[in-house]
Amino acid sequence: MLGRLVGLRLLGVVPQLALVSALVFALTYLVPGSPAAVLLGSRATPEGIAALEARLGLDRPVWVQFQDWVSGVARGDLGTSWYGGREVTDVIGQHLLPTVCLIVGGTIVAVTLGLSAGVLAALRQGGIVDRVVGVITAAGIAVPSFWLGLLLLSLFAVQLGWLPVLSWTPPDRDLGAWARGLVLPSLAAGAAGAAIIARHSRSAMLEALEAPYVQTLRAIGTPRRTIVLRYAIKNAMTPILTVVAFQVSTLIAASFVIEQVFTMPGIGSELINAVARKDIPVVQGITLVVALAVIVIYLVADIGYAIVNPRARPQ
Amino acid sequence: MSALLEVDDLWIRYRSGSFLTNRRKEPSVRGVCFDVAAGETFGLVGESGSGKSSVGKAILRLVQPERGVVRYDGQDVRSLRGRSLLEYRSQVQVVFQDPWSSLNPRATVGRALLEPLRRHRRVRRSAEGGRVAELLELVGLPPAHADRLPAQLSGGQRQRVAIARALAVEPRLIVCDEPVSALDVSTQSQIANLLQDLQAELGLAYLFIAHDLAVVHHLSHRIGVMSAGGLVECGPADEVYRRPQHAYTRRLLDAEPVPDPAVQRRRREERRLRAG
Amino acid sequence: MKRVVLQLLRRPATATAAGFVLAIGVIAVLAPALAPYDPLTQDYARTLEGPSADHLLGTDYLGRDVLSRLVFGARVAAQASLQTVSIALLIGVPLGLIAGYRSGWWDRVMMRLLDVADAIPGLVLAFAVIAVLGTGLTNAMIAVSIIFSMNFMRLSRALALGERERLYVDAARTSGLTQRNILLRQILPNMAAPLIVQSTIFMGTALLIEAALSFLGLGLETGSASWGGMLSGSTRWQFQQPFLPWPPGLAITLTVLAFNVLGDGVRDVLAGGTRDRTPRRRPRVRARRAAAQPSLAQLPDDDVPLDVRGLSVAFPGEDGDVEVVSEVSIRVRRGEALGLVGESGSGKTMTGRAVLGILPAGGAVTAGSIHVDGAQIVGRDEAALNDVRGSRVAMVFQDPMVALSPVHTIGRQVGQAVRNHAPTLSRADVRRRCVELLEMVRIADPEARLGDYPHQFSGGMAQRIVIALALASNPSVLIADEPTTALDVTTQQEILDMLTDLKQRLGTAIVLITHDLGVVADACDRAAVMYAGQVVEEAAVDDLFAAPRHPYTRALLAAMPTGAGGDDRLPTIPGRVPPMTALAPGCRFAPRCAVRTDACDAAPVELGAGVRCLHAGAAWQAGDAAHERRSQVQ
Ligand SMILES: Nc1ncnc2c1ncn2[C@@H]1O[C@H](COP(=O)(O)OP(=O)(O)OP(=O)(O)O)[C@@H](O)[C@H]1O
Ligand SMILES: Nc1ncnc2c1ncn2[C@@H]1O[C@H](COP(=O)(O)OP(=O)(O)O)[C@@H](O)[C@H]1O
Ligand code: SF4
Ligand SMILES: [Mg+2]
Ligand SMILES: [Mg+2]
Repeated sequence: MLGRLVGLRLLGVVPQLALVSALVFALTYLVPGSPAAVLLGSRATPEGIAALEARLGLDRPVWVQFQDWVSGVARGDLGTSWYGGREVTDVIGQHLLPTVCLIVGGTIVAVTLGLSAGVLAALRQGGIVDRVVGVITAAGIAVPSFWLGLLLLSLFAVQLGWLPVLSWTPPDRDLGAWARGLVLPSLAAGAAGAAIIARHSRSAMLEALEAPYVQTLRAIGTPRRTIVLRYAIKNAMTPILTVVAFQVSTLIAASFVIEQVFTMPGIGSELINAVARKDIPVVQGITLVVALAVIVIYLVADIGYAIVNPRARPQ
Repeated sequence: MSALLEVDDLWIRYRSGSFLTNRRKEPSVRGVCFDVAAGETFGLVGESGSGKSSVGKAILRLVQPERGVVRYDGQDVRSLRGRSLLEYRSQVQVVFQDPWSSLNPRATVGRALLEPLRRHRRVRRSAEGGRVAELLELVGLPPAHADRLPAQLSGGQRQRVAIARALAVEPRLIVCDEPVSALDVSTQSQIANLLQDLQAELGLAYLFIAHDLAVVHHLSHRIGVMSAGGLVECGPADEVYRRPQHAYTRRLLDAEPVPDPAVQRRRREERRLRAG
Repeated sequence: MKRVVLQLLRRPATATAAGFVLAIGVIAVLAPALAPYDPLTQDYARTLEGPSADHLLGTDYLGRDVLSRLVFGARVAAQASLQTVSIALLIGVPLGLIAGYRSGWWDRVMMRLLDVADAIPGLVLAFAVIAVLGTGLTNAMIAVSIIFSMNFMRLSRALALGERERLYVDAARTSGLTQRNILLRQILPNMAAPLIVQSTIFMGTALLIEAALSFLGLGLETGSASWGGMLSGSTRWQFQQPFLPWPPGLAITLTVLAFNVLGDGVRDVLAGGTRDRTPRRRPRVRARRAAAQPSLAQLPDDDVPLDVRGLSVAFPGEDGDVEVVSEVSIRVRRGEALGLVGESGSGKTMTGRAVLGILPAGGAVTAGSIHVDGAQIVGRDEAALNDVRGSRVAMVFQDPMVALSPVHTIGRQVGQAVRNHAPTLSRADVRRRCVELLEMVRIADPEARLGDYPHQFSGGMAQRIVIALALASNPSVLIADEPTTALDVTTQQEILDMLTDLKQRLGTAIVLITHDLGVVADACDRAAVMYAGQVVEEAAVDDLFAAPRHPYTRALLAAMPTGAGGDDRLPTIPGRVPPMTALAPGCRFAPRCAVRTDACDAAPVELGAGVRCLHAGAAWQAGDAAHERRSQVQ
């Protein structure tokens, strides 16, 4: 049954991927003027531009270029950077690990903190815990994440010295240092997500606890603990899962920013450099990889959704 | 007496799911035929999901039938366009079951009545206020209610507003889709009486949809009984009510409890004997 | 509109937030007049200073006055948030509205577009746009507008889809209103609330994205004053001057916070704003009357499993407590079904829920006693009540389709009911008992159906399962609150037959709450008629229908169409059920009563000999249309 669901969903992913890659490919052509002219800047001469276009393959018909690009992507070849000629796949591959670690760390922070705070607040609706959670989450959503990162850094690393200032140690060099280094960045990256997840899980829990089936359960003498732990949470999971999936996909982008705060050698700095100097192939490659990751995240969320909610399963 | 409205071999099938998972559902209405004469009440009863509302919606052109025709004054209503469609929209009106969602929550009663009036150019600007007051009075509401929002009215009052809105364009036929089902007993009889009075006064025809045979019988001249999309029985109200021909109609009648314990005890005993 | 604004301002947090946002707006407009210095003038003699009399918030690394830059930054902030959100609204709302209303191919195209937007997180899309168009605030804000408009489109589509299902749209179509009118004048105003809420949230988000882009060096040109730029610029110097990041950081945080609080406020007010503000105060128990409850010793044998005496229930209202159930007394014997009948709002459900101690938040029993199997219910704590619920008294609710948890199997939920009062039962025994229970409520193939979910059952089947849940531990009392109102008549009949059968076999005492006198005649032995929170008449069903004594009962019976048919009008009851806050001083039915006299208005009428009416006899003799009407049915 889940296989059928995955199959159906994958079918839907095909047009989505096609459109995303078409859009990503089109980036090159959305640059006002010729990309070659932009690259050459003030040194541009008509001959220079033509030569560069020929070298970058930009003089061929659009359709041919698209075919080329798509077949490249299919083979795992994302093209080469316009600066220095590095393979885009290499650029991504060399910087992938820190970014993935940060995203996973941030997700753990966002989901565990967010869920538990939200559920607790709902159970103590109107009480002290609820109000404290309310204030903290409101602030957590409003603080710019990079500033939060800097504050954490100066407090825990610089002043208290509990955690290292330098955040990234490859895990194969020193596992302990790797883990300790990830704590602050993960907190900074996951904070906003945690706050939003907390708010949504609070209201989802409240709604679940007010649902008619809770009255039925009460009317047959089910203890409140059981109602909350066995029934309300599972019912609340359906709306929460959607929020979690969205937050995790947002976290990917947020991690690019946080990497800069903690000077982690992730994809973020490559992307930002590429954006600043219009290195379109690198931007394209990273955008495509991110899109792929997001699609996978939503796929997983959908499967989780179907596991929790029988009505979402294909009949 | 020639028919005002004719429904001829009506089939309705809803599409379901996206175009990827599109599976053709079973038809919701299968070959329904009946007609309604001017000034007549035709009652349509049946269980939930039997297709009553779908028939009503096809008449109102809110759904596309898969097959069959709805004729009004001899004209296929699907062929109507432009002016003639607008004319049809003023001749055939609707009152829905749920008085909570059938009025726009952000429009005052006055605005709800004015909109159809203006669209069909029924009155001059200067006479609008007077006509709204007149309509409200017609359904037994104080004219001052024109300034109220639906949230400030009770269920019965909302249903009166819905009826007034239908009357605004001076229709000849009103499709009443369970207009009293959501109301309390005492309000139910008020609305039923109002509908009867209006019919006597204005010569309206009703297609009266309900799941409650007693109410339908009370209001209708003729009754059609629907089951699983088909019209299983159709005839004069008293005939169908007192001498039901189809087994389904009999079951429906038997199942509807009457306020008499002795009758109910007898029926239960009969059911027990039949079940063995 | 005015009412909404007033309500908003009455909430302290919302009013503060609104004031803050307004202040930012004013500062943005008056920036040149308010700022003490030019925000761009550099002073290399005085860089990175802390707050001082000259520079209230200190100076930055170029010696520029932080306060002045903050004031001018408000301009950028206001511009960025207003522009992005209004552009996004202009693009997103019409597209979403049309997609949601028209469906069809247009909707499919839009949805594919949204799929793409889904796959690319907002900030990454912003990166791509900046890579193409170059750095700068305008380009960044174009990117943000695109992201926001996608969101608005999704939101408006969902809202329009929802509104389209509402009947008023169908009514507008049958009135011949033009599509334009329907979209703009009917549907759009009903979408306003969520759109406003989302807009305020996005105004804050725009600021956060602007700050992040500035921090990455992709936003505003360095130099001009934006809060994001100030914050990111200051972070490089925060070890030399730790104060530097705080003014812009707090400015951003507080503004975003204010936008969000404002949005929350708008949402709560427009949603009625009741949920979080239900008064936590409980109604005061009328001590004297509560103390005057009959003691246990006075109660008769266990032949009367449910004995309710003088029960009153109240909710806290705006002007003091509102009593919604007044001195209700009912007694039900073993194997007897008592009908509790009345129009909506007469207090039937609250009476039933009081018996289980599951009144809605705020509600409380203010007087009277409830004995189940001889044990007092009123005043017990939750744990003690849980021992009674299910085992001695259980309840079934109106809408079976929502009375079961949709994400748990039937087996799980019936099993829960079994285990609640037999915690030591083995898994196999629980399962055996579940099958037994489903058989009892006549579910075919019970073994196989234990693994099914509620949505796989029809309404009638679901109601049987709810009844199985209620009867799992053999309670002495079953309260069924309109168990068949949501069902078809044929299904209703099956459920009522089943309840009658169970009542006889298990000896359960049943309270059958309904508004349908036909159901009372069918399934009850005795009936209590409720009006405006009081029992106005109680009698055995045969007597009640043959000789109704209270004018209200008589009127209700007369109003039922019973097959007399033809063109005759139904007798009606003038007026309608009064709200519990505006009851007549004397007899509560007096304003609608056909045989009222002045005596009826003098003082509350007491229940005597099963009827609460001063002229019960007179009413009975005053003609008997109802009786004639009924005899025609037979
Ligand atoms: N918009 C729709 N899309 C898909 N199926 C529909 C739609 N509207 C109705 N149906 C299906 O068509 C069938 C007939 O529905 P209809 O609303 O006409 O029944 P009804 O007799 O009016 O029932 P009720 O008494 O509950 O109002 C049902 O099976 C219903 O699920
Ligand atoms: N949660 C609540 N808060 C305040 N008043 C309520 C609440 N629930 C019901 N009421 C009021 O109690 C009265 C009786 O309601 P109810 O017992 O549900 O009536 P019935 O079941 O007879 O239709 C009504 O006036 C209703 O407005
Ligand atoms: S007491 Fe008077 S007003 Fe009340 S029901 Fe009896 S006759 Fe009517
Ligand atoms: Mg219907
Ligand atoms: Mg009720």
